[in-house]
Amino acid sequence: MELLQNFAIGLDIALEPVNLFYCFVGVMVGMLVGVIPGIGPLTAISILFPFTFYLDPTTALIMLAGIWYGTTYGGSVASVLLNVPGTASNAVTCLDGYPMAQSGRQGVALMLVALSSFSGGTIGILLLIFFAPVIADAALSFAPADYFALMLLGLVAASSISEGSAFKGLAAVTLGILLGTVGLDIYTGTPRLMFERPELSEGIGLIPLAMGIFGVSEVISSMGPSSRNLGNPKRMSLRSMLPTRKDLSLAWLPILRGSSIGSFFGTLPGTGPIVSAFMAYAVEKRLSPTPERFGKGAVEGLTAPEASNNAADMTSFIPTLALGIPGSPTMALMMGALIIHGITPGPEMMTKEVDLVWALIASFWVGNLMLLVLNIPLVGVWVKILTIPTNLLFPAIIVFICIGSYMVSSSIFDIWVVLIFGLAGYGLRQLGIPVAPMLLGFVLGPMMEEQFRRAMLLSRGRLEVFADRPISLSILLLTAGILMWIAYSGFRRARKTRASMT
Amino acid sequence: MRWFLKTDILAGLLLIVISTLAAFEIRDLPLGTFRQMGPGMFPAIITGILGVFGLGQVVIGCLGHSRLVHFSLRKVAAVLGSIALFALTITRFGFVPAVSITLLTVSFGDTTMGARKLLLLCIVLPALIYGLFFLGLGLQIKPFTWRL
Repeated sequence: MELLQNFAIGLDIALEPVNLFYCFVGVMVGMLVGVIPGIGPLTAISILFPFTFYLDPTTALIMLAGIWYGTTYGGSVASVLLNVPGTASNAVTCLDGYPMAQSGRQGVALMLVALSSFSGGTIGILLLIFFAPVIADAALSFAPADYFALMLLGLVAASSISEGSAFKGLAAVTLGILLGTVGLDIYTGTPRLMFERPELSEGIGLIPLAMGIFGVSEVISSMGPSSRNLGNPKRMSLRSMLPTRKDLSLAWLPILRGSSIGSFFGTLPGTGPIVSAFMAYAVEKRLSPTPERFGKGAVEGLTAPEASNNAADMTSFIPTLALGIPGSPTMALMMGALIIHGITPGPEMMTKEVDLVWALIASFWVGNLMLLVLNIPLVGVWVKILTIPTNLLFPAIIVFICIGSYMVSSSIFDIWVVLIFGLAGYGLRQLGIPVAPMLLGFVLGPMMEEQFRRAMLLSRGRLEVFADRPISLSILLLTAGILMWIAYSGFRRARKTRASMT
Repeated sequence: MRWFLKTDILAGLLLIVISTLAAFEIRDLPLGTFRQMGPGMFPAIITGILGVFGLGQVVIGCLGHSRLVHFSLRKVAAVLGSIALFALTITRFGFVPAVSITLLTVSFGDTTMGARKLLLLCIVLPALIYGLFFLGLGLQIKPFTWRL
C-alpha cells in the first residue's frame, strides 16, 4: 500500500540522528514545560520558535511538534502529584489522578497515565496516517469560496471554545485579522496600516508578535510570589509503579473510547485536547455502572481523558496538514513555522512535500515512544523540578525572548514589536479578552482575505457565490448557527451575573 | 465615574477606540468594488465588524456585572523596561551587559527574588547563551562591545 510505503520513508527520515536528537530535545522541553504549571505550550512554542530558524524545516517541525504533545505528557505529572494541572487539557486528570496518588498509588497512577497517553497517541497517529491523505484529496476540489467558509467556521468555533466569554473571543479574532492586514497589499502593493515604517512591509512578524502576546504578557501576569506545596515526594520503585491486572482490565476500554473521542474532537476546528479530555471523562462516568467511584481514584476516570487528549494532539494536525487550515491557535503557530520555512501547508503539500509530511508523522510516533520510555525512570526528576521556584524562570524567559527576537532578523525593531505586544497582551488579558484566538485570526486573516478576493474575482463580484456552492453554504449555515448561539449565551450570561449581584 | 473601568465595559471601549483609529488610518485606501476589491475593502469590513463588536461588548458590560480592571504598573514597568533596555544596549554594549541589565530590571517587578539568586542568574545565563548561540548556532552577537 502506498500509505505504508510513505510511512516507511518517513520513518527512515525521522530516525536520522539529527531528527532524533531534535525530537528528543522537543519532547523533553515539552515535558518540562508541561510539568511546570503556568507556562503553556503556546508560550513555549513561541519562545523556542527562533531557535528552530537555522534548522532544516523538517527538523524544526519535528522539534516544535515534540514540544506540543510533550506538554500534555508533562502536564499529567503535575496533575497527579500536585492536583494542579500542568496544562489545561490535564485539568480532568486531577479529578481521579490526585486521589489515586493520595491513596498511596502514586506510581501506578503515573504509569497508567503514561500508558494511556501513549495508546491514545498511537491511535491518533494511525487515524492521521489514514485520513490526512483522504481529506487532502477531497480538499483539492474545494473552491476559494469553500476555503473561506471553512476558515470562517474555524475562527468562530475556536472563539466559542476559548476561555471567557465567546463574544470577546470573536472580538479577539477580529482584532487578530486586523493586525494581519498590516503590510503591503499583495495585489496592489499599497501600504496598509504601516505607519510609515518600512520594516512592516511584510506585516508584523509572527514570532515577535507571538512572543509578546504570549510570553511577555504571561510573565507580567504571573510574576510575583507563588506558593506551591509539593508535600513529600517519596522515592518510587519500579515494582510499586506497576498497575495490577485488575487495573489494566478496567483501563483498556476507557482508553479505546477516550482515544476515539479525542481523535474526533482533535480534527474539528476550534476543539482540541481540552474539550476531548472533558468529554471522555463525562462519557466514562455516564457509562460506568459504578459512577460513585469517580473522583476518588477510578482507573477509568484517569485513563480515558489522558488517552483522549493525546489522541486529540495528534489528530489536530489533520486539518493543518491536509487543508492548510489550523484548528487552534497552537496549530496556527505550527503553520506559521512552516510558512516561515517556505512551505505552504495544504493539499498540495501532501503531494509535493511527501518527505516532510511523512517524516513529521513518523516522528510523532517516535516522540510518543520516547515519552513513554522517559516518563517512567525520570519521574523523580520531574518531581524535583516542580520545586524550582518560578520566579527564577521569569527573568530568564524574558532574556530568551529578547535574544530570540533579535536573532531572527538582527533588527532592533522586532524587539520593540515584542515590547508593544507584550503590553497589549497584558492589557487584553486583564480586560478578559483572550489572546490565543487573536493569534488564530492573525494567521488566518490574510489567507481568508486572499480566498475572499479570489472568490469575488471568479464570481465577478457576486456575493451569492457563497450560497451557490453546497459546501460553502452548509459551512456558513453552521457558522451562523454558532454565532447566534454565542450572541444568545453572551447576553444570558450578562443577565445572570447582574441578577446574582442584586 | 469609575463605571467605565469595569473590565467588560473597558474592553468594549478599547475595541471601539482601536477600530476608530484603524478606520482613520485606512481612510485613504481605495475600496474598489466587490468584483475588483481594492486594498481598503477587507480592512474596512474588519474595522466595521470590530466596531460593532466593541459596541456590543459595551452593551453586554452595562447589562452585566464585571470587576474593576486590575493593572500592575510595577510589573509592567519592570518587564517592559527591561526589554527596552535590552533593545538599547545590545548593539551598544554587547549581550553580556544587555542580559545582566535585563535580568536586574525584571527583578524589580518581583519582590521575592533574592539578590544572591539574581547574581547567579547574571553569571549563568550569559554563559549559557554564549554556549547555545555563539558556539551552538553560530550567531554573531558580541559578548562585550563599546559602540555608543
